[in-house]
Amino acid sequence: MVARAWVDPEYKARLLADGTKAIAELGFTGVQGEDMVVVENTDEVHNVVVCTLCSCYPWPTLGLPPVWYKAAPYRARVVRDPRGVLLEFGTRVSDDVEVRVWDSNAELRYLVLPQRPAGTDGWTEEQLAELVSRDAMVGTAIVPAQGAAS
Amino acid sequence: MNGVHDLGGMHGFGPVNPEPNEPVFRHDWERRVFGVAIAGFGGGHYNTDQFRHAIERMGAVEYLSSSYYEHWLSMLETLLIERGAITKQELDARREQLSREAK
Repeated sequence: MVARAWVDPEYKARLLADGTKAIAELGFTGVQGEDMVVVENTDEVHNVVVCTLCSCYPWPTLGLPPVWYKAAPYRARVVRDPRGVLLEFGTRVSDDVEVRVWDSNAELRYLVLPQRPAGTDGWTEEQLAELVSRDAMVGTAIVPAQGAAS
Repeated sequence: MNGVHDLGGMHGFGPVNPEPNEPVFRHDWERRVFGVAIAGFGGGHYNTDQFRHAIERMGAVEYLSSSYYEHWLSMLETLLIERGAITKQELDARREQLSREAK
């Protein structure tokens, strides 16, 4: 889904306009994914997703959530100190990039569209898909630049 | 509902400690609780709101000192008894039996 959005601008537009529908195009539907909103990382904005109240998470796209996503430390602190929490994942977000934290709930689940990394010009959708991690779609990781420059 | 589950912004829980490549279920009983809990939806014993509310009704100390799937187990005990699928006597008897057998 992420790789498709990176190579197909029309798909990306559909994904950001109606996440649920565009994700369903690829066959990902079902419980805990009934209403999906995709938020895009850019040079100006980094997005990260949490469920402060419990563990709301998009099962059809990401599977069951990891323990840390459901545990108190992440839920409590990512809304107060997102940059500090991201550092614990080894993710440093530059001070000139705004960090937006999205609180998922029982009806609506957020998913992050990561930035396409440098050094991937001309890559196929399949090659790009290999780079995308669960954490990148939660927003706790960034897809690393590829090639000699990285 | 205000309660201890409303964790956003609270201090004092320490570092996140993400674990690389963690298993989906750490113990077999977690897998079982997950399956039974999903079956409970299918069987019409509760909906998502009742499920969450049952976890939010846990005692604050119990909530914070137990794991995620222990929350689910607590939900199952609460709702299956309240909805009449099992009785507290049955649950207690079975629990006693299992702890006898484990000795």
